Amino acid sequence: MKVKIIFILSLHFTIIFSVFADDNSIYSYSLPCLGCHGIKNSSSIPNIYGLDEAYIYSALLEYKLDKRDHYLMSIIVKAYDDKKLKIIAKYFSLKGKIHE
Amino acid sequence: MNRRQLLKYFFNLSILSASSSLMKVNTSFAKHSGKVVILGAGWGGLSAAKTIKMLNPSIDVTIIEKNKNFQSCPISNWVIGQIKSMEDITFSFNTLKNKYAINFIHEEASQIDFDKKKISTNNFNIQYDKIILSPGIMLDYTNIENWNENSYEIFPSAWKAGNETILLSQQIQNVKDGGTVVLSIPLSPYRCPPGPYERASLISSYLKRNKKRTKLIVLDANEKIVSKGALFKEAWDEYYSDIIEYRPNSGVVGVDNSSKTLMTDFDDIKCDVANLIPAQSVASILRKNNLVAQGQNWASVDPFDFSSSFVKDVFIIGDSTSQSSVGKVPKSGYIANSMGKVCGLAVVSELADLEKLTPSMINTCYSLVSPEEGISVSAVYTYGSKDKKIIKITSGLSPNRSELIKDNAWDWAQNIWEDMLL
Repeated sequence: MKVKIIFILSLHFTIIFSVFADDNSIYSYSLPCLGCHGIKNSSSIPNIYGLDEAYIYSALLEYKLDKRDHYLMSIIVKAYDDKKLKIIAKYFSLKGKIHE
Repeated sequence: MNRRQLLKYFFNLSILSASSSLMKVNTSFAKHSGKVVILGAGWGGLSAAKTIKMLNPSIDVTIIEKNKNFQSCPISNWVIGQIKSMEDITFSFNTLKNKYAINFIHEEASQIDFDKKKISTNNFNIQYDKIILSPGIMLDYTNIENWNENSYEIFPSAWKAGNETILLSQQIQNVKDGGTVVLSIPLSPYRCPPGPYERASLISSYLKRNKKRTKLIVLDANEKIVSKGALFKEAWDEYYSDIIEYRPNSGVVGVDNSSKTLMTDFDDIKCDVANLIPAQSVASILRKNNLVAQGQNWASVDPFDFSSSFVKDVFIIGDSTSQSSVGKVPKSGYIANSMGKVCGLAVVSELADLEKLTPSMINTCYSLVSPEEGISVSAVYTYGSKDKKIIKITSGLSPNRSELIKDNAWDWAQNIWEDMLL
């Protein structure tokens, strides 16, 4: 049992560590988003957990470039540079897979 | 510790915390733990507690909170406006106790011994390595003439969700048609800048539907609407021009219990229902323990990690913090939640001797202008190393009112409650 747990942990760690490699700000930038974006599916605020990372990133970028319009997201995304948008996209794409 | 090690540390911890079956394993692995005491299970305290437990379940977290349940201030205006009930905004702490192994002591705290690192309640002395204080606000009636202990029921503030919310809700429901309701707003800064104006909107909407001849007089100590002014004004002009009478620069300076009268510098206003929201200041426990400078209304902190300006290993978050030290952030639920996350991350880092991360915060305040339509204001903040304060990067209002924003407001509330409580 213990061996199995350690194996699973190291597998998780390897996957995530290799993806995030050089950014330790993942929590700083992503946690505040969780005030609105949760895991409920029948919500007027979309559940974006576990969505494809490239899809989340391109959606965020579209808001930033005013190619996609939303009364609130269009304001929020403008605070983040490209690197931060990518970090946030990665966080949400992985979080769904990590948490159950 | 370098960046790579820091990252490894956080990810190990967060992955371990992702599954409850793995928590025990993590406890035995963890090299760094410690004891954190949090005072206040509101929006700041709960968010800090959960952040700490998610990142490092081996840290022992104890919350001191006198209330047995969580009652949400955001959405409590909807109860007063007869859209939601008190049950809709009341939640248990059970998941935090059971799933996250957070200890709760339901008592009032009094004294903190900073040398011995101990906080006392009636029955307990609790040792801490780090203490996070998120005690909220104190309602301050000292400048209201004739205020006495009987005045609370006659002029409820309902500015902390609880019994006064129910009382005011019932008073609104029972007001006689043709009567006068008064809502008085203190000078800014106070908790939830758009809150009084949302309340005015929802009370007016209820009156318009049910008691058409009843008036709402809004006595505002400020010279104009403090938040989302144009959006509220537009809605009031269109929907409630026969009901709301808005009087700026009209702070309440006195009351008369027997005739149910509110006094401003200009008028005496006799009313049937009076919602008196008084001036606010730092919760008294912070002042009692010398965490507030002489002559100041709020507690001063270093907003990089929300550590107290005066005592080591003490952190202060939420509405009690001063804008002069933190920067221009509103006293909102979302901000308290964001502060809790910044502070929680900082405390986990400090206990493990890791470099702290630069704060990143969001605020979104939704308000209803009617049961069908909402408006919003949002902002993103970071830490300005030059000013050593939290600074705004972007901000903006919703361009208009809409049904979508009303739906978002309710879904936001459900989600952020879950973020703190489940």
